Amino acid sequence: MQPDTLPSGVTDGALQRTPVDAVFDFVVVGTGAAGAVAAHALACEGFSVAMVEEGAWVHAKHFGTDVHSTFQNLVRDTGMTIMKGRSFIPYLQGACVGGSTVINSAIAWRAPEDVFDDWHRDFGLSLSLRDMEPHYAALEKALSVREVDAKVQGEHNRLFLEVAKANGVEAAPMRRYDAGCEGSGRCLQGCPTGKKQSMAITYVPWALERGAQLFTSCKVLCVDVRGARAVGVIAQALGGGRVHLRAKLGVLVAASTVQTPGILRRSGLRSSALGEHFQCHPSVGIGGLFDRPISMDFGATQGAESIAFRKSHRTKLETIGMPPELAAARIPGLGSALTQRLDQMGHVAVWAGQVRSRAEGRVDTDLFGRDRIRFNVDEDDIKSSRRALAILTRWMFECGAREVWPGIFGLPSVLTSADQAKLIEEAPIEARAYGFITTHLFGAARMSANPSDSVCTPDFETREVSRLFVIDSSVFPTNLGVNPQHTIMALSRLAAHRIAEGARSVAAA
Amino acid sequence: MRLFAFEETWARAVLAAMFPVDSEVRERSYGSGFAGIIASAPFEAAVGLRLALLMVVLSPLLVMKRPRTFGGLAPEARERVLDALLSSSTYFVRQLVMALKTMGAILYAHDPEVRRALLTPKRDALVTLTVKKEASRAA
Repeated sequence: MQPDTLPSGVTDGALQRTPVDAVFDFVVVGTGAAGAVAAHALACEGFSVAMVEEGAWVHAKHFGTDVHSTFQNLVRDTGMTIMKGRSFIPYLQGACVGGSTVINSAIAWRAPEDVFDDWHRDFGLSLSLRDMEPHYAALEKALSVREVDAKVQGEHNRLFLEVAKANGVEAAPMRRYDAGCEGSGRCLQGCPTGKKQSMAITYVPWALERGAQLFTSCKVLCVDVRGARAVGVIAQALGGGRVHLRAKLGVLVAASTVQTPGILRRSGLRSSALGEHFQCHPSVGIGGLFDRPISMDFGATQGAESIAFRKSHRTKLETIGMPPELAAARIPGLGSALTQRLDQMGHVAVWAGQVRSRAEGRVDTDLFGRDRIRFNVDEDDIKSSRRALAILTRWMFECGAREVWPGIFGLPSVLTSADQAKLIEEAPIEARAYGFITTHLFGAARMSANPSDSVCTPDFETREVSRLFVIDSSVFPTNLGVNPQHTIMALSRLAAHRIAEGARSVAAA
Repeated sequence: MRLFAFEETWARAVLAAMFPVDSEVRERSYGSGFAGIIASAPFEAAVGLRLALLMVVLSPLLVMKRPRTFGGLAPEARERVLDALLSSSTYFVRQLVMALKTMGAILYAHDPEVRRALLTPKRDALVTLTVKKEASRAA
């Protein structure tokens, strides 16, 4: 689905039946958090830039109000993507211009300093919070980062902050890319008011204004590599035309942790580290039924959080205003018992715990050549999840929940008192007992100073192919323990500036 | 991937047992809606959902030891069968039924009016539930 008129500089691949052959300084693969920011940065430096995106440009007026429409229009594989392992863990990825920034909650977190310390100590990266500071600051200014306004806090967020404070736990309203949120509660379906500052309404059009060009609905088949040097990108337009975008100075891949390794493999990279060291933030959630009205459809979709347990339990606690369809699937019961509870959906809140998993998985391709993730949570992850769920259960009862639904197999599906939180603490250490879901994906094309264990150098360039850069969260040596979009953007901005400097010095030489 | 007409009928029976609706039209929409989901789903997911449907339809044989299909059961028995499958000790069984429940929830709340009604707080509904619970405790 396309907007009525595409901005100038956009080629709609769905209508592209004839071949395209064009030359640019840089080609950027992907228009999500990493690709859009890097393309804009390079365009601002005066380079000619092409962005190539597999998905379509979907205008806000075509966003659906329900999950079914959203998943059909904006989400990869209509939302039916799962990580495979001992248990199935669903994950969601945006598949449109703007990538996942169109369907996420726009949460802005600077990575904690200890993450950069670890990256320096264990992976030889010379990145510090000080290096990142100007990039974080520029993004915060450009994307109107601010705390959720009290007017659009919503009851599910307000209760969380109140109960955390009562328990002496530090919690705060989330900081988000927010240009005047109206509290529609529809971050996950695509913001209908255009207040959420996704890449589709910010850095992508800003890059176009700076002269960049965008090719939508074009699936990248491979990077064109000649003599171990990246010289362009070959893509297939949805309309049938072959798109050959030549890059004089370099190719930047930002197709996401799941798709980037596949593109590199199809481009001839054979590093044994490619696809390895995948990490994520597995999340678990609980639902609570309250006497008081909650109305998850009003207010910031995600508006309150606590990282008080980030170091001790490796968890971040947060709220999530789930669309009713997704919440309904997690409500206990079937038939008449289920419809009775559905009738009270306006009194339901959902809170979640996000675990900074130590476990590593792998990104590879299946027999049909499709990208897939293999991942298993480990024992520590399950223990952390139990702790998070137990804390949240107690908190829900403390603020008046009549029922709490822990969603753990082997436990009662409905808890009716805070004492029963003990059951959660003793729940089985078995991945299959929990309903994990994840949205934050890292690694699989790791950047490190150690050549034997990494795909990219600390300068974001692949070790096997020169002028081929990876700038999305695939290069992250580890996960963060906080929401990653801000760090993905800041790191890609930093990378783009370094790549631009490098290109200039090569030209000068 | 396209569903056969008989599979649409199965989907209608299974999803209506999970999320009962009060009109024939809405119940029919479960069949066509499920067919739409299968048509746009990736191959692997579509196969999984069809397998889940087949498993539920044939499950009375195993769960109730009765030579019936799901469609031949009374509404209460259908709920009992689904409940047994959802609490199965076999992970794949309960995950397949959970996948159907998720699709059912998506189709149940597809209509904007239904979603609005769902999300509107209802003091009466809570009071009714409270009274029922208190009465059952007293009993």
